[in-house]
Amino acid sequence: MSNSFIEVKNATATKLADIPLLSYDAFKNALIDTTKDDARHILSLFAKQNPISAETQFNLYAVIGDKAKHSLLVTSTGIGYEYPSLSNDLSEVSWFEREIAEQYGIVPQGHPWLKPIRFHRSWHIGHDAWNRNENDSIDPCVTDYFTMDGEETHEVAVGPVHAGVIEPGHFRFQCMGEDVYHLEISLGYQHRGVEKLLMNGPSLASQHILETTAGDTSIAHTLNYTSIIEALAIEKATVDSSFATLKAVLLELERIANHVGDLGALAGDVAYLPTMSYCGRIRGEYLNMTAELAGNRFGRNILLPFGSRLGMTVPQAEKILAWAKTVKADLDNALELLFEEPSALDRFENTGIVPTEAAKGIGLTGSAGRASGIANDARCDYPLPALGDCYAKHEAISNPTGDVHSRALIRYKELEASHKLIFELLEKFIANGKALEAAPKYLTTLPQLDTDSMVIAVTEAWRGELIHVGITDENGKFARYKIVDPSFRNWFGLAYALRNEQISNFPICNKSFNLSYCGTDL
Amino acid sequence: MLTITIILIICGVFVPLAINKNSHIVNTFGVGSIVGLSAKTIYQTIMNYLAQDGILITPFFQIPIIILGIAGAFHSIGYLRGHWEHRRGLYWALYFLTIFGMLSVIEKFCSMSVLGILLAWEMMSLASAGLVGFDTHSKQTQRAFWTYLLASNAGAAFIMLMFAATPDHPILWIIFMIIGFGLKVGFPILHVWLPQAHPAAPAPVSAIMSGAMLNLGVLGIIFFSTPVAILYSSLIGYILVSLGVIGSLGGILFALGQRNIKTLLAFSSIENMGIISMALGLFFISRTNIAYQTTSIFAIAGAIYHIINHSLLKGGLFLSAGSIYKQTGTLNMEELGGLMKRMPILGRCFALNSVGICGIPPMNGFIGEFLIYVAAFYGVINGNSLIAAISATIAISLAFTGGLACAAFSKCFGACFMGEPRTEKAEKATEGSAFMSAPIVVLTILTIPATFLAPSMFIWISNSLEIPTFAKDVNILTNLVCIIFLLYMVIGFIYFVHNYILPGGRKIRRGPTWDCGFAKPTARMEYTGTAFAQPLVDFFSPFLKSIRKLSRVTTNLFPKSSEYSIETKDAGTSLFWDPIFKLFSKLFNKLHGLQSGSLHFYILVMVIAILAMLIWAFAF
Amino acid sequence: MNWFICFLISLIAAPLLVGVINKIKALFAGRHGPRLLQLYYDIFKLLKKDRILSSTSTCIMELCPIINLGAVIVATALMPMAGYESPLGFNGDIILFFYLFALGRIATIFAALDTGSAFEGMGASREAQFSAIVEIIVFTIITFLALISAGGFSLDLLQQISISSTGVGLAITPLLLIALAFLIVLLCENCRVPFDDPETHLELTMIHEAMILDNAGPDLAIIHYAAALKLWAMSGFLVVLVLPSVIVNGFVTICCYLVGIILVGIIVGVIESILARARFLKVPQLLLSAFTIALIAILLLSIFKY
Repeated sequence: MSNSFIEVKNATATKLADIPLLSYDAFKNALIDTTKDDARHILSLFAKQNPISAETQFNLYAVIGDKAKHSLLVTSTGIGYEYPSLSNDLSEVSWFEREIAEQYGIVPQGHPWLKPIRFHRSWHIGHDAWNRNENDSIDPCVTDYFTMDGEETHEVAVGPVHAGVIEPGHFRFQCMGEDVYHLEISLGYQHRGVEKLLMNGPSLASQHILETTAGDTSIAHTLNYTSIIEALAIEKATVDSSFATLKAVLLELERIANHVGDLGALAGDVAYLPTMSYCGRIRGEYLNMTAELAGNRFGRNILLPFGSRLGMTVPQAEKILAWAKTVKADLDNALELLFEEPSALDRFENTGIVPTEAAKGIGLTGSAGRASGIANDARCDYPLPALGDCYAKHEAISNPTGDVHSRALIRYKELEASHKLIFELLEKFIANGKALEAAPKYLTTLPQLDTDSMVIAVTEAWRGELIHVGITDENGKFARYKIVDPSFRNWFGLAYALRNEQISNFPICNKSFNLSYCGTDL
Repeated sequence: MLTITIILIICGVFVPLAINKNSHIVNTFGVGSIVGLSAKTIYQTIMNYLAQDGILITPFFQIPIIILGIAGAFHSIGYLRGHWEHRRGLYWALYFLTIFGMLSVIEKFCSMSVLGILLAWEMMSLASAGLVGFDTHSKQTQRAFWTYLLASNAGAAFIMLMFAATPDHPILWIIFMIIGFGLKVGFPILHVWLPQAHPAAPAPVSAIMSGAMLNLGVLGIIFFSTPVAILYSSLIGYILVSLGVIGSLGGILFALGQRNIKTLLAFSSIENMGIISMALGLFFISRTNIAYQTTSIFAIAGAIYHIINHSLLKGGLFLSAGSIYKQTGTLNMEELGGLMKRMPILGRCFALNSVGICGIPPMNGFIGEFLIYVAAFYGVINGNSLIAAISATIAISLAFTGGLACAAFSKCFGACFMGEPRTEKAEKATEGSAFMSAPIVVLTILTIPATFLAPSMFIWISNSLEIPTFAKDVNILTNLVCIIFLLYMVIGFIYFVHNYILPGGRKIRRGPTWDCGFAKPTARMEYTGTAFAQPLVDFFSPFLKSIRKLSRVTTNLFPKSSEYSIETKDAGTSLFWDPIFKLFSKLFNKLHGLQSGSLHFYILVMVIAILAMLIWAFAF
Repeated sequence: MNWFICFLISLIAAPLLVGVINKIKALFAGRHGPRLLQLYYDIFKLLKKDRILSSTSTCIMELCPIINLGAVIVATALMPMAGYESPLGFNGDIILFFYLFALGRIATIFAALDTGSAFEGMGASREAQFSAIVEIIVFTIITFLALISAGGFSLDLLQQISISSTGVGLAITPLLLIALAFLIVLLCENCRVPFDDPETHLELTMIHEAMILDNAGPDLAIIHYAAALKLWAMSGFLVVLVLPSVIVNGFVTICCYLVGIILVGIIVGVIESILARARFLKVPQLLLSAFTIALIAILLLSIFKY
């Protein structure tokens, strides 16, 4: 095994040449063998086009997280336009393989369910995994859906336009009356070509693109991006250690705001009004706290490589601390109402169950994964250098039941943990008594990056492990910038949760995951 | 009179059999003889009425036979087109004999001649059995034919036993009567032939059987309970109420689980016969005591009124099912859809009839149920605790039946007529010949007088039973009818305002049904009929025992294929009769050599038998 | 004359009751909530719009909202109000009263199926299921009323029940039980929490709202108004059932009656605020428990009576 992988730490640069290049069979076996251990799971699988001089047209890179060693394992293999699919042995890579097939026209042969994910044309003109012509129009979500036989069965098609202001996506239920036997989710309406836009970067626009990749996860995305730039930069600037505090506080505020919003929405979906209204308001308070620190409610445009656009003063920290403590009291009230209301709990319990085995097979991540008993949390598994030792004491919170209630409960408990963390960090900052100065050095310029290197940055965004992989070419520009939003790995989990479930329970299952469409569509 | 009858028989039976081939002439003779027979019956009834002779309740049973007989005859012209061309004469002969048999049964009931009753009963049964088995090719039809034949003959046998028992053995008499006539009415467990025979028979025949023939069983019970009525009226009442409650709820629940339109309608007939026997039972219970007179009059009026309504509505529905079958070649609801646009006249009639059969105002079906409700609530008010409890049970089960009927018929109407067609068969359907739609339209229109004549019908029914009515009782109906009229006016007024005053120049725009903006919606994205009924069927699954087959999809993250199917089989057959018949079939296997297996042969034998009986009947 | 005034008030004020419920819910949630008269604004806005019909649909969809409204208006016209008997009332009108709602319901179900949409089919299927079970409760309640009034079973006798039973004293318990059962019927029939959520925007969980998904403009206005009027009529039934209505003076009684109806609105609002909606599989059980309550009331009453 030691030869098959190179072991790297989170957000540290490696030379591409150091990454083992295995034969395909060795690569496949290495992946299968390594992930047999519960402490290791696949974080990403992606292809990169090789220079013309290389033996094979593409390199397939796999990133595996090893939480026991707090490090990441990377390996690669060379492939052409066809290769035997991995999904039959490693079901969790099925979406990754579909993505690769769509991006490059590489066909993973024997893939159990090869369908487009984003409905865009192949990056390699002339190579299409589904042999579509260049002139054929590609309508999002018009594809072969799994169809149940039997004249009594019917389909319910929901989306892309949903009731309510939410993102577009298409949900195809195979039903008989109220019973759902199968759900297939198809996205792609929001495909913007983010990964392609980032190639040949970084440019000043890159950060903006990443901040808007998934609007509710801006801070985590920026944190990953800046970490990658910091790791790749040839000239490393010195950084005030308090920046870690600021970044952690912002990351946790983002998490809190979203969890609060989702718990409120869950209450709303079961028509439990008090919690819904309170949470709706309280979420706004947390967004305002973010705005107080970042000047933007969603934390955009604050973090920069080696610093941030704004600093944090002690009175500011004191204000946030006091504010958060008052709001926390309200929040506790609202959530206690929800978690003590039998009629609401009755809706949550035993609804939309994803058992641990299935969750592992799907590769669930983040709070959804932890709710199904997968105790992974990137905050403690792969500490991000940019966050210093803020999460030294953090532990993953998990619960094995895998139902809506479990997912809600995990969020409830995480809210508790996040608050505790924020309070501690801010109190320490205040006790320290030293203001954090803004360091906007790279606001208008960007550092020169190392050539032919790879950096993997993993952050626990509020939905789960957010992975960015930056690979530079011989000029120090990005040859590939791979983004794996946690939603990308969790959508299939939502689809699975609905099997043999009542269709009327779909909304609360959906809310309990609350996945990002644009984060997946890229 | 005898001469006319003989002429009619010649025109109705022998001429069609003789000239079999020429369709126009056969059709003319077929329809003509039915019309003639009807005219003769009406004439006779009126003469009897004027002469104050005969029992006056019979017209309520003759009317459905005549109306449905004529409607069915016209419908048959269209239905036969392209079907069984070479056996058309036989169809008409059997059709005539069925109607003739039914009318004779009523006639013989009045004259109380035992042999006449048995012969007429047998003629009616055999002739209709021939029609049930008319489609000789299908295996299901053959099974239905044998089941029906067996049930009919068993019924006749029990009636014979009843006569043998004589009123001197009242308990035996009652048991044999309930079983003998109950086999025709379709009481629970005895109903077994109904869901098989109705879908198998040609639509006009199903209409007659369901709308008119079942009633004769009810008439039989009314007639032959008289000899033992003085002492045993309540007992008969209790039996009828319990059979009615089980029959109505069970019938409509099984109707919910069906995919075949005609099977659904057949189960609905069991339900309606259940309602009628509930009312009849209440009448038998309450008529012994003068204190419950209001209950008894409303109960019998409700039962008879419901019989007429059921005949009109169910006749229309069965004929509609025939039109659908004729135009699409299927009776499976899941293969239909979107027929409202393709068969607008039929669709409108079907909608109205469905609303009527659910007992929803302003249709006539409501009035019958209303009368039964009134009877039941008077029972609650005036009765002792037992009668109050029975009445309350009747009212509540009637309400539940009504609610379930709404679901069943929404399912049927929705799946067949609404939305977009699910298959090509439905896609290509058209209205079809006027011969087929006209009778349905007429039957639907007839529901309007059946609604508004309620007060006079009420008086007529009570007069014919020689029960005095009070103004306050009639007033209830007069008020009801007035309010129904008001309802029409209010709806008309709103319609007028909504369409002519409110718009003020604004247009009606058309757009696709909301599909969430998806690029390629399909007809698979429509609710199927089975899906519509699924929550209720699931809720009652311990009772319905629907057979569900599902190759599960849960086992695999990426299922290759899966299939779902559900079937709700008649519990009476599968739980009660099948085991018995299995036992018998072992015994009879030894006699197997006698069967030639050709249904043509059997039908021929039967026609000969009927003719022989006919001659015999006139000899007596 | 006084009855006509009440009837007119009902026709005009019906949408206000929905406003009251929403206001109460907003209060509980700590929001300002929509205006009391919001439904009026909505209805007027909708009336001004074009009619849009689905191209799949037929005359059923055009007619059924009208039939529904007509049925609800006639049903309201049967109600005795504030102690005054309806001129249309007759012995047995209580059966017609509930059957008119059934007409409205089947019209809505047909119209829903007419569009051929899975959402509307889903809503219609749920409505058909729940209403079938509701029928049992309704007729158990009518049985109770027939038993207690002992003279007939018209709506008009309703208002004497509360007086006579308070006189009896003991009969008040079963009467309150029946009122509770009817409240559950009211919540279910009017698509309120815990059966349905009138606020939700999620097609997959709706009942009533799913059935009218494809109605727009004046049609939708009619449907909204009919729903409000139905809620008003059923609240009126509950008020007449429980409140002793002794005619002291026309104005005072009418005021009491109106206050009673508003009170029902407040109760509904409070229930909606403190309960989450039940999952659909549990709804039949909930309804059957209401049926049991009604049966117990009948048993209690028969014990007192016999």
